[in-house]
Amino acid sequence: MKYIFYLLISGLGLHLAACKDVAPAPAASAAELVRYPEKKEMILLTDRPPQLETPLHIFRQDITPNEYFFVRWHLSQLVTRIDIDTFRLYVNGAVAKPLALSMEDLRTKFPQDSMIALAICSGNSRGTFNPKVPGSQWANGAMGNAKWKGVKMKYLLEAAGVQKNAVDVTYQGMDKGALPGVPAFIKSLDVAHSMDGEVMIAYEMNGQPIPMLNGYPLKLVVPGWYATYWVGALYSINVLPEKFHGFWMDKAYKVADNKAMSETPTMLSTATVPLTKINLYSIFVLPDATDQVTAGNACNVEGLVFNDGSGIGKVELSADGGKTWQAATLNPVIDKYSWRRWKYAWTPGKSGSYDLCVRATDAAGNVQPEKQWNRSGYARSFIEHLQVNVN
Amino acid sequence: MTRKHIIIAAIVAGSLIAGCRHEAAAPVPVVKDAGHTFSVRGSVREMTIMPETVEFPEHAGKQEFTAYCGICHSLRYISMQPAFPRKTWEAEVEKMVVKYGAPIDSVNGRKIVDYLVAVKGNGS
Repeated sequence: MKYIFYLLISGLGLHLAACKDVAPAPAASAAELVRYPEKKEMILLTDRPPQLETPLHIFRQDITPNEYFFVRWHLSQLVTRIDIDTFRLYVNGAVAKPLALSMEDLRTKFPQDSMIALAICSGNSRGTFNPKVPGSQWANGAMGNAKWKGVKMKYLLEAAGVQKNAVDVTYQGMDKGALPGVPAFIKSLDVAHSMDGEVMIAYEMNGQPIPMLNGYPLKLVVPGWYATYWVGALYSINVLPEKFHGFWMDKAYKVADNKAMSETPTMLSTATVPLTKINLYSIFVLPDATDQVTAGNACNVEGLVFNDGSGIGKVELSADGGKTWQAATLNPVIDKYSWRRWKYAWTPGKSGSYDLCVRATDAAGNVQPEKQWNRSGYARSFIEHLQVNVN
Repeated sequence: MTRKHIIIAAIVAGSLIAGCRHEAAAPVPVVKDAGHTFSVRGSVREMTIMPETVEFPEHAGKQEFTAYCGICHSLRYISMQPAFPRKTWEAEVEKMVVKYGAPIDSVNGRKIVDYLVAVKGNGS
């Protein structure tokens, strides 16, 4: 096995030598691929806590495999050992009957549901904001589409008996900060949202236990909302008789209080609100940098489109930087909160450099904006461009 | 050479040819393996995550930067950032103190900001 490893490395060395006229990428954008527990080759952003990005070619599949699903934690002390026989999920607070549920309880005492839903980091595509903003410099790979199986929150809260005065429900993971001053990772949803029959506690992802790096054994699924709410390693649910004011709701993950979630560096919005629903966005998956595109031949242009589950109206493609637009073909809906694939057979007439753009319109007629910026690099919705050289 | 070796040699040769055909080809990624582990034994799942070290340039303030910033997160949080103006680095260090409770006094805070400006500053 070692021999094979050395052969591959020496092959790569030769390759580098042969291509040494290619300028080295700046340190901030050089992709380092790593293999983490239960994961295949992922792009390393950070190691403590781990943040791993899905390589773009994985998005050629409608379902993102667990071993390629993006990883994002806030606090450095992850749970690295779980005994599922002793693990319990607690439901406490303003309830008639507090619960301490085993995995067996979750699998046998409640109705079981599943859905395919998109999990997308609030800061997905942050690295594409201009001017640059601090934070993890994700490309489009801090998202993934998976089939989640578990128990709807509605059934857990019904079993616990939510009291009439209940307002908010908090969700806490087992991860901890390195110092006592670091706020615990607790998110909240109001009681009505928690009981809407869609919010789910998942114990299975694509037919398998959730990888430890994605929140084993339980992950909150909040379909249509950004993944900051999808608390991993979930163990404590608390029903509150008042609104929750924790750090991760009141101070972090706030965006400019306008529809486009946009502001400018010189005119920062003074009014901010918690980031919630997934913004309308569409991306290119194909062609990629290694595809040959030649004049007169059809090139398969393909990508993904998504929003908060309220539906996509149309996707259009431009090959001239946004001057003219043609309708792309939308693949059938996969599931309400899943992403959707679009395709376009593009035959460039002559060789040269092309500025491809993709823009989506949602079911209500809202179109992706040309421009958008906010200080945290959240909720990208502005139109993606792809430079393609045609031979 | 066994058949397996021939196949691997062919893949390497193929990647040489394919990789150099396009000027737009991305730099060849090297897959790193830091020795992380994962196991399932009965009802217990366990993983270990090893640090992925990163080298930072020598400059005044490196010691404070390494010691304080490294308490809560790895220094890759900084190596992956683009270059920013001084005011952005000042705001970042202040955020760590005020919002996340980092035990950094104003003297060390200034040294850390100076170091960040030196290694990840954009001149403004």
